[in-house]
Amino acid sequence: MGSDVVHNSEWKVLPFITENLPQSNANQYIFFGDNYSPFPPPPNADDIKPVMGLFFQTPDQNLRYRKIESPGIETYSFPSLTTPLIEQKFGYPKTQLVPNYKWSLKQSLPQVSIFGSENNNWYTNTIGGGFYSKKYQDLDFTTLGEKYITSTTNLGYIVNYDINGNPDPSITGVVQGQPIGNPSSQAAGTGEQQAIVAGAPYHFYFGLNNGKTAVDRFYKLYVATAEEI
Amino acid sequence: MIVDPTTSIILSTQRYKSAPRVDQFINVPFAQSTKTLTEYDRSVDISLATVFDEERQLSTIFRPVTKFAILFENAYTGSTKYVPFRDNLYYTNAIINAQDYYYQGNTMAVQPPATDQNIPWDGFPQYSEFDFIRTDNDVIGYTQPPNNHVTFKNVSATTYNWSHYISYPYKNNFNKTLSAIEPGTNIQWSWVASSGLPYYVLVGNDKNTRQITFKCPMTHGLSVGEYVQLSVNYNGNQLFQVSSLGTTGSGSEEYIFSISNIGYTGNVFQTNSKGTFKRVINAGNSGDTISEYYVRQHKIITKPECAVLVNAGFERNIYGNKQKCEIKVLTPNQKVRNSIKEGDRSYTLSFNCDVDINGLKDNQGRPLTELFFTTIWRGYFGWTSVMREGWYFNTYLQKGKPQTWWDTTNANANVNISENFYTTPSGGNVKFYYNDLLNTGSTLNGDFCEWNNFDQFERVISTYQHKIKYNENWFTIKNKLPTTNQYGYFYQPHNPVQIASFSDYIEEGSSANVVGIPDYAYYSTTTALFRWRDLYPYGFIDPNGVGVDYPFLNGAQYPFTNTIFRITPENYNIPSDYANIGSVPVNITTITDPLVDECE
Repeated sequence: MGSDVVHNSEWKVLPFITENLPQSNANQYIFFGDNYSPFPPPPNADDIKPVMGLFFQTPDQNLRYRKIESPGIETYSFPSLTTPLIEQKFGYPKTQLVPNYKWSLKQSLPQVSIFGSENNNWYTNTIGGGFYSKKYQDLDFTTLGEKYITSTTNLGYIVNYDINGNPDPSITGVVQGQPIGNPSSQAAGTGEQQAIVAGAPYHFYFGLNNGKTAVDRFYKLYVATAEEI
Repeated sequence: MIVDPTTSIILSTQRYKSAPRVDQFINVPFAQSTKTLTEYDRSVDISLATVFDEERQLSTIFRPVTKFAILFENAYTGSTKYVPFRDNLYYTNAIINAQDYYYQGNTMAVQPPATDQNIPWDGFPQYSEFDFIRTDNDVIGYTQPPNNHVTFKNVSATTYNWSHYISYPYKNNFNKTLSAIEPGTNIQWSWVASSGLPYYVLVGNDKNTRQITFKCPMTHGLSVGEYVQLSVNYNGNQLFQVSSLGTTGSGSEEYIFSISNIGYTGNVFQTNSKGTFKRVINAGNSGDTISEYYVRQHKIITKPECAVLVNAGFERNIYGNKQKCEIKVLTPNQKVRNSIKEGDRSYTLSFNCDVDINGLKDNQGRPLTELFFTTIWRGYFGWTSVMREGWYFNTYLQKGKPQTWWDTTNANANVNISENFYTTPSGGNVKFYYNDLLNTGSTLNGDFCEWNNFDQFERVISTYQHKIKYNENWFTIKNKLPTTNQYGYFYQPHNPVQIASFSDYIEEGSSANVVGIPDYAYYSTTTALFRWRDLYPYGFIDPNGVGVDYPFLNGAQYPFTNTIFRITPENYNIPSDYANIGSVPVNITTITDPLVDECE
């Protein structure tokens, strides 16, 4: 599973075309490297494999929309230096109970980046106890161990964050390492925290037309009613 | 049959113009000297309609009824730290207030969140603070213990905010000092009511035009050909004939009049010079035809507990109920609730005490033809203080600010209603003010009027207004106006209901050849004639539609009228559409209701 595919299917993600990139520093949104980045490959290395990645960014407003959809939190004030977090959870008591399971990235040498590799090294087996049930719109990426929150992924996106929870859209940041390794070999609990639920409930990418999925209809009717989606 | 020689018998058709013909005699048959009383004879001989009409005309008992449609716009957002008030606002800046108040955030994860009680919250007082019948009788912390502001008593629901009475104008106050401004200019008048109407010269003789044009801050009531008696004189002459009305502006004829400029010099008619004038119909008989100007005075004739105020069925005004859900995390007391900015309910006011007008005369000494529903702001919850009185011409803004008339230092604007106060445990020693109830016999000022003996007609020049404004100790409006002269709301206390009608024609005659001259007729010493208007009987409406006809039942008259009760803001301190956020923080539109909220 490639994160680029996932992101391009997501609501509020603009297509990766020239017009949508800030022209002043467009090159900063594209990652070109290899499986040794950011370190230079060792001399005579014969396993250098190119890696290309894209950096997406999202404003707080979009994050607010995602929290409205799941688990049903209205955010009135995002935390900053001067303002505290003020949010109201209303939830969806009637959302459907569905099975879930988590994914993690198997570590591949010599480095691993959040962009993955050609090895299709996403891994799932018994992480977090295997399948578990959860209401579909009760998934909460703000709760540790639940969904997207790891030390480098956060906020419902497979994106790069530093250990302080701040976005880190830099070349060096992509190899800060998480999620890494075989979760089963991690210390107790750690592996589970590195594993994520991929996809649900923000994107469907199995053949529906762009902008016409059930999620899109939900957004249009209930979340961002005033906006064009 | 012997007729008292002092008694004159006149035809029923002569009682007033268009009066119906009525038999005055009983037809007694001459066939025999005695008559056998037969069964049903009594019911045959007595006309039920006649008896009904006789009783109706003699009845002086009235039970007036009105339906109030309240039009109110909540226009002033302010701030308060007083907990019972703070927790019950219609918030206008909740996110910013919550950020300051919950300085460490307000989420489900941390309960209870830390708070800063010194942070004031912004918003409108809810509509229940202005409604005729309060329904917020179950709000813990406000109308119910603990730590409440007032312990609500349901029996007082109709008297917490307003009180209602029946009044009538019983005399005139000629000495009331009035003040007016010409909007958009620096022209200001202060005059005594009996002086007439104020004016300023719009186009003076210095402009060398054929007419000298005057403008009044209120309707002048003049017609072309009539005269004005100015407070100034030109070579000893104070009377000038009106040659035209108005200018090119629509409706200006009611405020602007002109006299011919026959070559006046000097500064009597200089542009922007000002004074007062009185209307004179006939310069040859100015003594009889000059108008009087005064402020009507009303006397209350019902007790406050006589008023019965109930919901008017399911009627609601066209503007609807404006309410919103206050989100739990955006309230200082963490309680989700509906808050109402403006309501739409109508009310019916009746009285459970008979109003007997027997012996009552109006301010011109005539039989009463109008009673007034007098509605007085009570404000028992203490949001307001120092109610003021004025007239409609005082409601115009003076360069964007309230007229100096309304300043609390102006004793001429004091109302004749005593103000009382109380304190609350959480409010400390700072007082909450409210207006006392009125009793029978209490007097209030009324409309500014013109009376002309020749016309036998009273014209309301400007309606009487009360102004209520917030007590700055408890609710602070955010603007730069001085606290002694803040924006407020106007309402018209006296709303008439017609109970009888005078004729639209004028009778004139002498006692020598006219019988039945009413005691309220005006006697002209110039013509040695009486002038008066006939009083139409109840149930009679002349071809011009003048007259009254309303139910009479069980010995009481039931006049009814619809009343639109306006509580009008003097100005706004917020953008009316909330779209342009100005100096006052309002961000209603940025607060989106969640998909599911507890208000639903």
